Amino acid sequence: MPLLDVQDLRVDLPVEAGTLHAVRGIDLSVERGEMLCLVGESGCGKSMTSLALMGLLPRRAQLSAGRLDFAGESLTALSERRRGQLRGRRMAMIFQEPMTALNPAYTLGNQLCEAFLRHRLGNRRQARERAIELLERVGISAAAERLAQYPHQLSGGLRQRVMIAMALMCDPDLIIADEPTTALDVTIQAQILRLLRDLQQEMGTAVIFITHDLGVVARIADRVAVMYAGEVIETAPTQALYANPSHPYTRGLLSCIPAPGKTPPGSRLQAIPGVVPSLVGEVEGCAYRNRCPLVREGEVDAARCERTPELRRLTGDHQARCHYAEHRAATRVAQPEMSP
Amino acid sequence: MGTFIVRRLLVALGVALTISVVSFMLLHLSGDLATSIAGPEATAEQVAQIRVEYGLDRPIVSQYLDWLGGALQFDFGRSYYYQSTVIDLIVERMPITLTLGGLALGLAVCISIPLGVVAALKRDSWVDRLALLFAVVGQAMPSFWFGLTLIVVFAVTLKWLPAAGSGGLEHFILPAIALGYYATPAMMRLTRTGMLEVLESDYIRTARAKGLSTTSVIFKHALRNAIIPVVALAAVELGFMLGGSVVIESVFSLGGLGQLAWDAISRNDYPVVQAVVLIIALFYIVLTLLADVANAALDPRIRTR
Repeated sequence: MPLLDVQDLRVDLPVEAGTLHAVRGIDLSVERGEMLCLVGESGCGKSMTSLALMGLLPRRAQLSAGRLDFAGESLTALSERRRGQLRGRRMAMIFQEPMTALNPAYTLGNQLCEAFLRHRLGNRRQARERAIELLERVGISAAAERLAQYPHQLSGGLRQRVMIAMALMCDPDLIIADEPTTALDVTIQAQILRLLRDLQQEMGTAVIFITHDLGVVARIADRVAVMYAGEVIETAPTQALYANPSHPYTRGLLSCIPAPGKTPPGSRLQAIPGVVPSLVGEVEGCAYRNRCPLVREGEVDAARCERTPELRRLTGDHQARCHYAEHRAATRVAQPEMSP
Repeated sequence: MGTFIVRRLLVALGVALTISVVSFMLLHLSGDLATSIAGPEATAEQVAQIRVEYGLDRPIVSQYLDWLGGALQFDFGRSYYYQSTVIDLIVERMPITLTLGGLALGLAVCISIPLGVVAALKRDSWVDRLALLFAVVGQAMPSFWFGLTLIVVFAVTLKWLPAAGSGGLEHFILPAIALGYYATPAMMRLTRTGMLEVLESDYIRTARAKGLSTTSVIFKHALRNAIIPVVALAAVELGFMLGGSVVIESVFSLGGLGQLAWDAISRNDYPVVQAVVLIIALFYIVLTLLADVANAALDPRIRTR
């Protein structure tokens, strides 16, 4: 039984123009100790998905799910009280902005120990000891003295380490990390990624890592789910996804990453033309068809793309939401073109 | 924190000295003191005599230094009108003003902060609208009129409380309500805006993600940050109520500092005016200092800056 089993998760937000379907029926499953990367551009619903899993959606948002099971319990059936007991205890979250995600008015020690004490895992002394142990584990020196410091006295990278330690305080089964490295310098990014990966393997915590950067994914993920316009459009083990990207959007994302040593200097950076369709109101047919190179170049029957594709199993664990996932031309990753 | 307070104290001292100069000079700039003390029917000899008697013939700087030297020992001279020293007059009136101001501020804090928090939590609900109405009425209604209304309803019609005078605590209830209501709207709205802003912040989301109780999220994480500007405002409001309660004091015939100053101005009783101006300014300085210290205690970012 997977740790997290999500089927047909939907999140609707009322907006002025109607209803925004931020998440349009996604299926996800995360095994214990696994790292799943949720990839997509901004507005694809990945953050809404994570907030829905944590039960932190804005009050006006409406959630529905065919199944939303965590460790065998249905989250939708839980009382708010029971949900609060899981949150922070068995599922924790790391946010994107380390600069603002810590309360400026309290010491790190106070904020680190808070969840531990709230969930009655021990007394103050034990909480303090665990905080020191975890701060040291995430690579913060002079951990005991740091407990008396305030967030503004730390750099962004250090704060994100504190956030990671904070998420680990109660030894959760699942950590949702929402773009935890986006706001950091590139060198710090790599350190934090490595740290997360090491901790995940060492402690056997399952991680849902949310990012817009496919380059990050290759380094850390066991499995990848690519999201587009509120849907999962392709999911596969990391190796399989890179070896054989089957959705034109995944190939588009991959071709956008310049590879040092491979992408010739001076060549044009790739971009996917067009924009994401509006998710206000119903989306009919394939959500990607107005940007899809297969449609644009007439390689496929565009009429078929007017019908909404299902997420289909291609081989083993590899699924894609495209009528033409097996299209031969489709397996060719577009090479960056040389500038004239 | 120590250096922070010392630095603030030095600034406060500078401000206090400046105010002492200004309050001393203002009266001397408003015309010939000896003439106005002597009155319109005085002869030239009488005026000259008064000038010597009150030391007004000496250079202005030495007059100021004398006055300041006295003020530092709480000696503000004698009142021209009352047969008593200025400090005695002030000591007699001060408790009334302090009680009124303290009660009014206490009342304002006890109403505005809970109301602001509830209005923010129940944004756009009927509670929020009612709080807004309460604030708008409080801001629009002149305090003397509200004071008179309170007298008519609670003293004259219902006969629950005395209408005037300054005997026991019951005399302070109606004036404290009138003065406190005046200070409530701004603090209420500032609390509400602060809470709305803080509740949207990332660290509140973090707190919720930890599974903390709603009480802990609202009071420990949100209110603590939202309250910081309200504390500063409360100090200014108290300063205003101590110095500017003259209207309420006269409506309720409370003989406080405000009324003393008012009487002294209309009687050209300069030593009293100077002393009251200086003391009210000192109130402001002390309160601002306290607000700064309280802010630093609440916000660690200020302390270490």
